[in-house]
Order: sequence, then structure tokens, then C-alpha cells
Amino acid sequence: MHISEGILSAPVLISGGVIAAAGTVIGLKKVDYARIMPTALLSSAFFVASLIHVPLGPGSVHLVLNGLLGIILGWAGFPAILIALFLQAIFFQFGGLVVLGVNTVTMAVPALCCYYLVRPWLKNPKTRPVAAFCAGALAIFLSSLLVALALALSDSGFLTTAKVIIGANVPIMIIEGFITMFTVTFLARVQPEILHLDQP
Amino acid sequence: MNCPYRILTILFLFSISVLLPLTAHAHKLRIFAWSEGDIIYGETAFSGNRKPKNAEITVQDAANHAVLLTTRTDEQGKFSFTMPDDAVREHLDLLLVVNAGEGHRGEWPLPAAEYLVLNTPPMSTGVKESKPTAVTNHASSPADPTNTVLVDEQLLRRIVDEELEKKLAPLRHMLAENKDNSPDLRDILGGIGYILGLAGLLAWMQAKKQQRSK
Repeated sequence: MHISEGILSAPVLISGGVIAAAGTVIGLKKVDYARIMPTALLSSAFFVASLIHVPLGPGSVHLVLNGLLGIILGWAGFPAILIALFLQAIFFQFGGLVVLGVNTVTMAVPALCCYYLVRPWLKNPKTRPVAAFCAGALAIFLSSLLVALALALSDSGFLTTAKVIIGANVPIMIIEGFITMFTVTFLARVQPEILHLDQP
Repeated sequence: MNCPYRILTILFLFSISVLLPLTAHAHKLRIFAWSEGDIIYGETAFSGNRKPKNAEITVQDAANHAVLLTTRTDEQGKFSFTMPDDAVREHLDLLLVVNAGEGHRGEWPLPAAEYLVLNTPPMSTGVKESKPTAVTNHASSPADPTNTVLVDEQLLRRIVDEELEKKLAPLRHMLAENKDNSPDLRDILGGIGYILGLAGLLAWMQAKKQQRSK
């Protein structure tokens, strides 16, 4: 779901950049000593995840993992995603440096939404798997919406674009849902500290 | 405090080792094109080798991005078009742009030098038909023996060009295809190294801050 260079209009690019910068500043303030390594590791996971292609659907879809990143990192997801996207742009030529801001927003804002919406449900072991699944799926859904919005503001109609993108990403929503579910339940069982469930 | 990170690291390394065989797949829309005579052939693909069907191809003047013509890819993600006359006449450098929607876009520059050399003789007309045109162009009277030699030489040139082009076409195709380098292990490890390095930098800065506040 990286948006390539040369598609978006300047206002979209600039507002994307501003939002991403603001989110990153807040995020960096929230990264305390204990959270540096989890942030870096999830950032690396996000960086690599885009190489895994799912051979389903009409378009080209790959893992994103922003739901998982969101529920674990919260605001720190902004710098984690920004750095990963920056490196993807440099090493893999995915997206591009000009669209870095917009791409960060389309990935990190859904991650943050998951943090606030789904995290309360993670504490209860009964609702945990469902909540984690929802986080994985919801993040992709919201990202698709934001990508469609960014494209719509620059050129084509929102509704048709949104339908196409969401349609193409339905398989990945389900897959990410399961991946997030298994990862979170595994972590909760083995090492709950990573999830910071004791913190608000 | 060390334990959770160790587990995350193990999880992470495990996932990488699972992913490595898949790294040829990537998420980028690539396009490449080559000329055969006055026809430009091209192919588009997402790097996972999925083909964008019915994606829009715009042929632009590389200098001012004026659109010369548009076409669409077929079911196999391929396209072809005849060189626009304007471009041939004015020796324009072209830029082929593919837009598959959903924010996927790729570019391929096609400089004039690449298509004009082979374009000057009309390839498709074949040897027999091209003879009279050459004669009328370059000889005042067809009976003149010196001019016949000239015609033969031109003919020969054209035949060689044509044959060479036939042999070179797959090579050009391969070269064009290889120009697009999909991410390899070095890129991935390099990226991860960067991230861990940044984490180290952040940790160092925070440690310094903590020391100062004490």
C-alpha cells in the first residue's frame, strides 16, 4: 500500500509530512529507555514484512503488521514506521522520499487507532485473541481508507478507489488478523511485559 | 528485563529466516520497454511478478511531460505502440509511465538514441519493397552503375541492421528486465542494521540525559 512518487498533489504531500512529523515528535518523547529495543525490533519487522507477498486478490498485497505494531507501541509507532518506510524507500525503492510523510500517516494513524480502540480489550485473557485479530484487520482496513483518501484528494473519486483498495486488501486483513492474534497471545503467555499490559 | 527482548529477538530472527526465500517478491510496479523497428514493446509487472491488467500507459515527452499517447496493458501486463510521428521527427526523449491505480506507478525513460537508430529504415516493409524507395531517394537514374552499388550497400546495411535487431531484441529485453534490482539479503540486513543502530543512538542519548540529571 505504498503510494508511489508522482501521484499525489502538493497539498496532500505537505499535510502528510506535517502530520507525520508531529506524530514522530510525540512518539519519540514516549520512547523511554525500556521501550527502545521493542520499538526498534518492531520497526525492523515492519521493514521486512513488506517483502512478504500474499498471492491472493487482484492486486499486489503484502504484509504490513501495523496493527501489531500499533497495539504494542502506541505513539512510538510513528517513529518506528517512519524509519522503516524511509529505509524501504532507500533500499527497496518502495514508495519514495517525497511521499514518505503521507505513507507514514496512512500506516501509523491506523496503528495508533488500534492502540486506543483495541488495547483495553487486550487485558482480559478472554477477549484478547479476538481483540488482537480485530487490531490486525482494522489497521489494514483503516490504512486502505487513508490511502484511498490521499489518492482521492489528489485525483480520482474516493468511493471507487476505496472500494478497489479495500477489496484488494481483504485477504491481507484476515491474514494480519491471525498473525496479530497468534503473536499477541503468544507474547501474553510467554512474556507479558512486552505488551505493557499493566500500564494504561 | 533482558528476557522479553531475547524472546522478541528470537521471534524476529525466526521470522526473517522464514522470509528470506521470499525476498525476491517486492512491492513495486516496474515497467520496461524496448524498440523493434518503429514499434515499442513493453512489459509491466509488480515485483512479485503479478501482472497489472488494463493498466494505463502514458507516453510522455521526457522534457515537458506532454502526453503523446496513451495505451493500456493487456492480460499479461504487456503493451506495444507505434512510435508517434512527432516523436520520431523531433527526436524526442520519451518517458513511459504506467499507472495501475491504488497509488502504483512506474516510469521508464526511453531516450531518442535508443529507438531512432533502428527506426530509420522501415523494418516491416522488408527487403524487396524497400529497394525501389532507396533507388528513388538516392539515384537520379536507376541505370547508373555507381548508384546501384550504393543501393546495394544500403540494402546490405539494412539487412544487417534487421538481423542484428532480431538477435538483439531478446538481449535488450533481458537487459531491461535486469535493470530493476529487487531487494536482496544485503538490502534487508542493511536496513535492519540501520534500525538497530538508530536504537543504539537513541539509547546512548537517553543514557546521557539520565546521567546528566543525576
